[in-house]
Parts: sequence; structure tokens; C-alpha cells
Amino acid sequence: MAETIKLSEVEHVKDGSNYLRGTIDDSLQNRVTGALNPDDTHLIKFHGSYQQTDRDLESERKRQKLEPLYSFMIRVRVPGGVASADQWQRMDALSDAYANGTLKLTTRQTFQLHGVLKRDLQQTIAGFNQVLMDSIAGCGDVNRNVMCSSNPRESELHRQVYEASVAISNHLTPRTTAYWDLWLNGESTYSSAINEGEQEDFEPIYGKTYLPRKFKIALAVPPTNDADVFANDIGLVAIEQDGQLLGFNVAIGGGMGMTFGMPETYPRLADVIGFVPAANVVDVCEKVLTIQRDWGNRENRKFSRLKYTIDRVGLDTFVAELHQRLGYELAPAKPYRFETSGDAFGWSGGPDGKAHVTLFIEGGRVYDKPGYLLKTALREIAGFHTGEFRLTGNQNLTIANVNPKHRQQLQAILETHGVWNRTEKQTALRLNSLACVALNTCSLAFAEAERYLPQLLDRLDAVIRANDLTDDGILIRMTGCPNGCVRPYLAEIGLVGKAIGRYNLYLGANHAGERLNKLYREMLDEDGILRELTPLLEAYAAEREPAERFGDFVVRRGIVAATTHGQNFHA
Amino acid sequence: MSLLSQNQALPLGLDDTTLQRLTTGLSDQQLIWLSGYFYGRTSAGRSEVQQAVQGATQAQPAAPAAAAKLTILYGSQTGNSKKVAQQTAEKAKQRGVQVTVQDVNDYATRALKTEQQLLLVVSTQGEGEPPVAAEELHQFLLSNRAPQLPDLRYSVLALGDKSYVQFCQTGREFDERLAELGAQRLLERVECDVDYQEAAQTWADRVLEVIAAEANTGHAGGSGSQATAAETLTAPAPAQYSHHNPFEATVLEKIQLNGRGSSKETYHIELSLADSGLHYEPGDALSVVPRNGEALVAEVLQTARLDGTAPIQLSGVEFELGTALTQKLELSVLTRDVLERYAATAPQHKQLAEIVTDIPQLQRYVYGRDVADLLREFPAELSAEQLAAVLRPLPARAYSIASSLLVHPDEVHLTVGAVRYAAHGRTKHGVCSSHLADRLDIDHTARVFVERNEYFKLPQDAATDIIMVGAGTGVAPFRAFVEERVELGAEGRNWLFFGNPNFTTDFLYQTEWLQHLKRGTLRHLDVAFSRDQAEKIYVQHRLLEKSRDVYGWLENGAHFYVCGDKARLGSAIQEALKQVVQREAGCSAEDAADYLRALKKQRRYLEDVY
Repeated sequence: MAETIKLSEVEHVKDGSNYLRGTIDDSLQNRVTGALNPDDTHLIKFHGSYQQTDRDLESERKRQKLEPLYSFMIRVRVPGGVASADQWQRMDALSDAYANGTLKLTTRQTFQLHGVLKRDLQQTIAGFNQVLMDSIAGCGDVNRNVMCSSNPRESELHRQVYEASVAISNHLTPRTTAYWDLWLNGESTYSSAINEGEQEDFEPIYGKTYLPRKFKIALAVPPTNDADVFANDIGLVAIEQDGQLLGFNVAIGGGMGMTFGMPETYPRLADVIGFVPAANVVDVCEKVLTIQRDWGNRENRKFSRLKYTIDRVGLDTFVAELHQRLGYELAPAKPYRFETSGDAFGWSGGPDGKAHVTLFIEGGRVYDKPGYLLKTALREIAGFHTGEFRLTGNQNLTIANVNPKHRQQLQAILETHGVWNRTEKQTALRLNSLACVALNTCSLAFAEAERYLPQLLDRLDAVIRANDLTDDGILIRMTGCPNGCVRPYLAEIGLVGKAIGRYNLYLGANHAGERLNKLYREMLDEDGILRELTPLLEAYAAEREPAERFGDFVVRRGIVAATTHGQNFHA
Repeated sequence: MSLLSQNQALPLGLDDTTLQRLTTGLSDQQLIWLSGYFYGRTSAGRSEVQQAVQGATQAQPAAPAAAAKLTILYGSQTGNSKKVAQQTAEKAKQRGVQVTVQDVNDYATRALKTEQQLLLVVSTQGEGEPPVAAEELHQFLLSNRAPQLPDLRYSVLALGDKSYVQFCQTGREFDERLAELGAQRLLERVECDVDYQEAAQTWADRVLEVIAAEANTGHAGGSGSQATAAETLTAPAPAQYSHHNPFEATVLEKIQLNGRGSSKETYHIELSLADSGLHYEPGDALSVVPRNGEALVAEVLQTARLDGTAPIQLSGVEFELGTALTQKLELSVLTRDVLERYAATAPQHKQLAEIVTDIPQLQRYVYGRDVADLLREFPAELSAEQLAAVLRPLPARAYSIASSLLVHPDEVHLTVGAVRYAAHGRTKHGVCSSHLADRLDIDHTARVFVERNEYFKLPQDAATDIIMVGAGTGVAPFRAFVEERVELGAEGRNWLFFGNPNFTTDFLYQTEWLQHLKRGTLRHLDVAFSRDQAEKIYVQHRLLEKSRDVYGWLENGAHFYVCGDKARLGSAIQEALKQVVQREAGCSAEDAADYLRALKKQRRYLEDVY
């Protein structure tokens, strides 16, 4: 290209960072501030961490002549959301030792620790490493945690899809040794990333400026779209035959984030572009990613995601480039059907005789409070459980492959710690709720989410019960800003924070994550939300068709128009 | 002849003729004596008389020394001893005594043998140590190198604080040692509590009476009036505001500096000095006249079974007991003198009598106890008058000033750590810190006066580097130092070492320091937060980590300041600094100790510890 490109600031930081080192080491040595040097705040994301402040204390500390209370969120990658009991116990212990005593299970099947002080970063990250976990590429302009359906019932098929997700994750993990140098004294006891035998850093896939923006991949096994594959840069829909994995339908260009007041930014669902056999899925992911590496916008980060690249060049052009780079063409997509993007709760049995139990974790937050000792219960269970802990894409937790002789003990622990009731005695609305962290630590938040949604649900539950909708799963998702961490534009009731106590209300997504919603009302306070939703829920209860979902109902009734593509989301 | 030089203006009502008439037939010596006599008779308009007399003596060649010369030495930490010494010299001069007043820090110890009359005004620091200025003389005198001093006549004025067990220890040691060495007292030692002014003036008058009487009886030969003060005799302008006449300063701002969850409770308090005319310099202290808390007063009244409205007298002024207990008498700490008086008033308590006579026991007893504890544990039927007589006056508390007047005109800022602890069944509060922390809100007034700290001052030369070591509220004067240096555009570099328990909550004035660091007005900032890691790390550890640069700065002439808790900081920093010197200069421990001694002697190692 002839014209000069004015790269964004972050591009310069990456370029000069010597493969993500920057001056992080100096930043960590600096004792007079809890913050990093400004440039390093961009780089630390690639190591899985965000520098944050306690916004509740912002003005108070300013008056006290104290700097903001800086702390770090650290996101631990868990490909496919599958963690061992050892790993669970370690995360539990690290959250008490260095974080705020809680664990956040995220909508991308990762663990988040919040409130880690700068001086404890190294010990915390070293603690992950000891149980074979890492936080590299937890955030940053790289491929993030690869999601995978956590439904364990179709045991063999799920195992194969999970293995594909791990293979993709490993292939796309950055190769820089900066992570080991900075956090592990250069010693890697476990590495999915390091270049064996290499003397110098290089990034065979990413190059030294990595991607223009974050990149997300998810795999789902129909009929459950619990990984919300269409919200991802690459969504992979598993196609099976006789219980064996054949390959994947490939969808590209999904993404949730937008910016208020910028209609040229929009959420977009991925387009299905064909089918790839399982053996080639890693290759397809790499080529899609490298096209985005080369074609993505590096001037304005608001337009850097793959979805804008595709809409800029056209889907056909993009697919043609992909076929060229692959050296082969994708086969036509195969039929599939998703029914829900929610989780199924309670006990279930696999074909191999093992049992699984999925627990509702409100807001994904694992903590203890009087009468609800979730964190303690899970710690005790991790002490004897021989299966896995599976983090779902809906902030919930499946304790999978429970040894039959442990089942009774496990159930007893859930009951005595007040955990079982939280799953068993909820409205389906609450069981299908998601909330991002928002205040007090997320710097992007305009409004509350995780701390507030439970109270709003108390009032909505009353409406639900009054209208006999207790067992009707309606996806309700709240975020503190429009960036979309809990995929609010795929919610049947989406609440996106615009100011303290004020939310935009979006309606009309379908229940399986295949249609975006649409703005219905702006700047509602709590009473406004109730005032708007109550008549709609009443009408839904009275006038729906058999098995009709709330999102479909409001579209059928013309309460909102259907969003058929990201580019008409704002229409 | 004219006694006055040509250009010396005569006071109103005097002309040459009158002067001639008054002085005809008098010898020079008689004239000089008379000038002192008249000067001494005058109490009003002193400064004009002083000028006149100085003019007179300047015009006159020195008379042969007839009376013994008087040397006044002062060993001062905060400047109080210096003030008294200068006032005494002034009085001596008025009496026509040939007097030299000198800082003991600058005094050549070998000169002691030649002294005839010596007045020593010396304070006591902490747990019975001499002020830095007097360390060398103290060490010399108490050693076996000290000469016999049979010809010396002397008197000691000891300044101290009765809340310390080793009250006036240094003055006592000087006094007793001089006697041992054969010197004879002009007057018995006088010991002054924090409220020293009156007792000090009385001592000065009486000791000068003795000197005058001896001169007249020819005890020591010679007389003379030439003031040969080693430094200017101009007494500092008498402080307009004092303990007895404090300025009512309005509270402009009050901020709890510690973040949530801190183990500390520190307040930044801004007071208005508008219309007071009060002036201070960085390094000075502000004394606050506190009041006791209602709860403690009630506790004392209840335990003593006395009525708060009972009339009592303090120094001849009538008060209600409750008012006196609130405003005039110390309740929150027990001191030796109070215990002694109480034991005498309540002789039935044998155990108390025993405690009073045994210092270690006494120290253990007073620790954490207040007047209410004493009254409860050793009950006695005291009248309101008796109780008031037992107690000691409520002293003012001095806080190192945390602001520069240049930056905050008409304001003074304090950094106050609230003292609270549980002991002997009740929560105890530091009288003044809780007065400021709990009972003074914005727009209330605090009763204050400025106390000069003579030595804890910025270097005269603005190009000199400074290293500041402050722990906890000890960082206060350094805020003033850096503010002042920035405002003056001082080119010397500033380096701060700061320590406190926890980084996130206890980094006092953090955002200000970070600003200074960013602007370069603070060259280095090294911090130690003792409880942020398994092992305790303190400022002295940071000093050692930075030993090369610290030593480099010192070699480059830097001044080194320490402020904070004496027990925790004082000796630890000195030890660390000795190690720094030993390591960087590659010298012996003794040489390092000498290096530090020399720094102190040059007034480049300065402490404000409490």
C-alpha cells in the first residue's frame, strides 16, 4: 500500500516490546506505585492480566493522597474449561493467598482472580505453573482461551471435540519466552508454548506485533450451543456420525463488542462458510487467524476485529483468500441443529456409568457467605473427586465423571453447605442469567452488573412466578458496558449498562445463540426495566405458541424487528 | 568628654550637658558599672536601653577583667535550652557581668579547665540521653579523662519532660559529675518540666544574684561589662503565643490518610494561621494544647468519687474540678512525680510506696496506665483539692510541621497519628492525638503555638543534597522540606526513605511524593513496608540496599535527616549508616562511628525523634 498507515499506539508498544517484555520487569521492581509503567499495561494483557483499580475507592483515596488502589485481574487459560481437582484446589488456595478470596468462572471457561497486588503477581502466576496451568494469552491481541462444549454426556464425541480444542489452543499459543522469563525465573516446568531448542524468540504464527486485536475460537456439539460459537471469530460446529467426530462446520467473523454512539461498530454473528474434516481444523484456524493478522485494521482498535475485516473486504473475498492459503477448499456445510445455548442443571449420567452434576453459579462467582459455603464445599469435593471440574461457557460448573461411590458424599456436601438449593430452587430465568464483573474493578464499566443483577432478578422472579414461567428458561444477560463480555446481544433479555443505574434493554435474540437481539428501550432504571418487561412477560405467558421461546415471541409479535445480520443490528 | 560617639543619637530628654553633670568625677570603671546598674533597673523599654548600652560599651575600650568571667553553655535539641541560655546571658549582661554564651556543640572541652563560672542549660532526650549537641562534652566529662575542676563554680539548669521516667537525667548527670570533679555549685540544680519558662527565669535570676553577691564580697576578682558573646545576643523576639496564650487556629481540613483496612490511623490536619502573625520554618514544630476526653474525665471523677463542680485552685486561680481535669491537668499518662505525690497523699498503700522507689517497677507500672487506673487500683479518699494538687499540668504536645509557609501561606499542616490501645481493661487514647482525631472537626479551633526546632533545618546552602529518613508520621517535616525546596528552586537533590506497615494503606502523602518524583523534585524515593511480606523490612534495610549512593551523597556533602519513633528508628538508622560507611569506605567499625560522629558534629546528621 502506498499511503502511510498511522498505527495505533498499542501497535508501537507491541513492536518495541521484544516479544511482550517491554519494561514489565522494571515495573514489577518499582515499589512506590502499585501500577505498571503505562506501556506495560498493554503488554501485561498478553500475560493474562489486566491492571485495574478499585473504583469504589477512587475518590476516597484521592482525597487521602493515596494513588488508586491498583490491583490485577489474572485470567487462567483452561482450554475447553476442563480442570483437574488439583488445579481446582490450587486456584482456590491462590485466590485466598493473593486475590480477593473469590474465583470468577468466566463466560470463556476460564478462571479469573481479582485483586492481586503487583507484588504478588509473580508468586500467583508461578502457582498456576505448578499445577500445569498458565495465563499466557489469557488476554491481549492473540488467540484467547479456546472454548468447547462442556456437556459431558456424549462422552466419546465430547472427548474428541475437546481434544481438537486443546490442539487448536496449543497451536495458537504465543511462543515468546517472555512469560517464563518474567514469571517463572526462566524455568518452565510446564510449557505448551516454548520453542524447543530455539535460541531466540520468534513467533512463527503471530510475528512480533501479534494480531490487530483479540481473537476467539469456540467449539460446540449440537444440539447444545453452550459455547455460543457464533459470537466468536471462529465458531466450530461439531458434526458427528455414529457418535464419532467427522469434522466441523466453520463459521467466521463473530464478535460482540460495540461502542455507544458509534453505529459503525456492531455485534456480529459468525457466518458459516463450509465444513472441514477434523484432521484439518487446526490448519483452518491458523489460516483464518493469519489472514486477520495481515488484513486486520491496526490503525483504529475499534475496527480491528475480524468481523470488520470481513465486512470491509467481503465474505467471498475473505473465503477465497482462505482457500488459497489452505491450498484446498472447504466442503459445503453439513446440516446441524442447535436447541439451546444454556446449561442443563443437576445430575446426569454418561453412557460409561459415570455421573455428572452441573451447578448454577450465580455470576460465576465462587465464594462463601453465611448459609452458602460454595467455595468451601467445592474445596472439600476437590479433596476426593477423581473426575474433573468443567467450567461452562455460562459461568456455571459441572463436576464431571463422579465416581459412583462418591456421589452420595458429594451430594451431602452440596446440601449441607447450602449449595444444592441454589441450583435446585431457582427460576429458570435466574439459571439462565449471566453477568460480567463490571464495577468495582473493570475500568470499562459504566454501570453495575454482577453485583446488581441478583437483586434485579429478585424482582423479576416475582413477575415470573406470578405468570407461571418458573420453568421457562429465558436468557437474561447483563453487562456494565457495551463491549459484551457476557454476550448480551445474544440474550433474550439483554441489559447493557450505560450509566450508573441505567441500562439499555435489548430483546429478540433466539435461545440457541443464532440470532442477535435489538435495542428496545434506552436508559432504563430498575423500575423502568420492570415496567417494560412485566407486560411482555405477561403477554408471553398468555399468548405464546407451544414451546415458543421468549426471544422468538417478541419477534413474532413485532415488539422488535429480527436482527438478521450485525450490519442491521442498529437498524 | 562625650560618652557617645558623634553619630549616636541621644535619647529624648538627655543632652551632653546633662550627661556631663551626671558623670562628673566618675572613673571609667565606675561609669561602666553604673551603665549596667541602670540597665538592670530598667525593665520597660529594654531594647532601647540595650542599644544605648551597647553603643556605650562599643565606644569604650575593654576594661581590665576584675570579676570572674561567666560562661553559659547550652545543649539544645529543639532550641529551648538555647533560648534560656540567651535570656540568662542577657540578664547577666544587664548586671554588668562579662559573659560568653555558647553552644556546647561548638565548645572545646579542654577549655573547661580554665573556666571560673559556668552555667549549663541542658535538656534530656528520650530515655535519659543527652541532646546530640552535648554528647561529646557529656562523654568527656563522664570519662576518666575528665580533669579535676576545683576552681570551677557552676550551676545546672536541667530541662526535661516529667512524662519520661528518666526526667532531667542529663542535667542531673552533669551536675553530679561536676561536683565529683571538685567544682562547687553556685546554686542547686533546677529541673524544669515541659512548662519550663517560669522556673528557668527564676533560676537565672537567683544564680545571677549569687554571682553578683560574690563579686561584691570579692569572692572572685575583677569586674567588667563587655559582652563577649560568641554569638549575637539579640534575644529571639518573645513568642507572642505560648502554652499559656495559645493561638486559636481554625481547622481548615482534616483527612484520614490511611486507606481502608489499615492498622494505622493518621490524620492530615490543616490549620489556619490567618491574622496570627505566626511564622515557622520547615523543621519547626507546632504545639497543640489539648483537652482531655469527656469519657476519661468522667472515669476519673467517678473513680475518685468526686463532683466535677467542686471548686479547686490551680496557681491561685479558681476552677471547677471538672474543668481543671478537662483543660489543665494531665490524665492520660502517669508520671513519676504524680505517683510520688499520690503515694505521699495515700501512705496506706505500701505497695505503691514500693513501686515509687523502684525504677524498673515504676516503669512497668506506669506503662499503659492512666490516672483512672491509679485511682482504681490504689483507692484513697482524696478531696478535690488534693486530687488537683497530685496531678501535673497538662502539657502541650508538639508535632513536626508538615507544610511550608511559602507553599501554604497562613496555614500550618500536621500529620497526627492517633494513639489508641487497650490496656488494663479500658481503651486508652493519646490525649492530644485523640483530641485532634476525635474531637476536632473542620471549623473548630485548636489552641496552638509554634516551637522552633533550632537545628532540624534545611541546609543553608540550597545546593546541598538532603537525604531524609522518615517512618510513619516522621515523614511530616520532609513534606515541608521538599515543598520549601521546590518553592525556593533549591538545586540540591532530595532523597526520601519512607517506611510504614502496609503499602496500599499507609503510604502517607503517596500521590504528592509520586508527583515530586515525576517532576524530579524528588530524586529518589525508597520505601519499606514492613508487613507486606513474611520478613519485616524497614527503612534501614533500604538504606543498606542503597549504600553506595547514600555514601556518595554524604561524601558530596549531603545532610542526613531522621524523623520518627525514637525507639524504632533512632539507633537503627545510626547503625545502618555506620554499616553503609564501613562497607563503602572500606573502613573499620570505629572509623565508621567516627564518620557518623563527625556528621553529627557538623550538624549534617540531624534527628527529630520522639
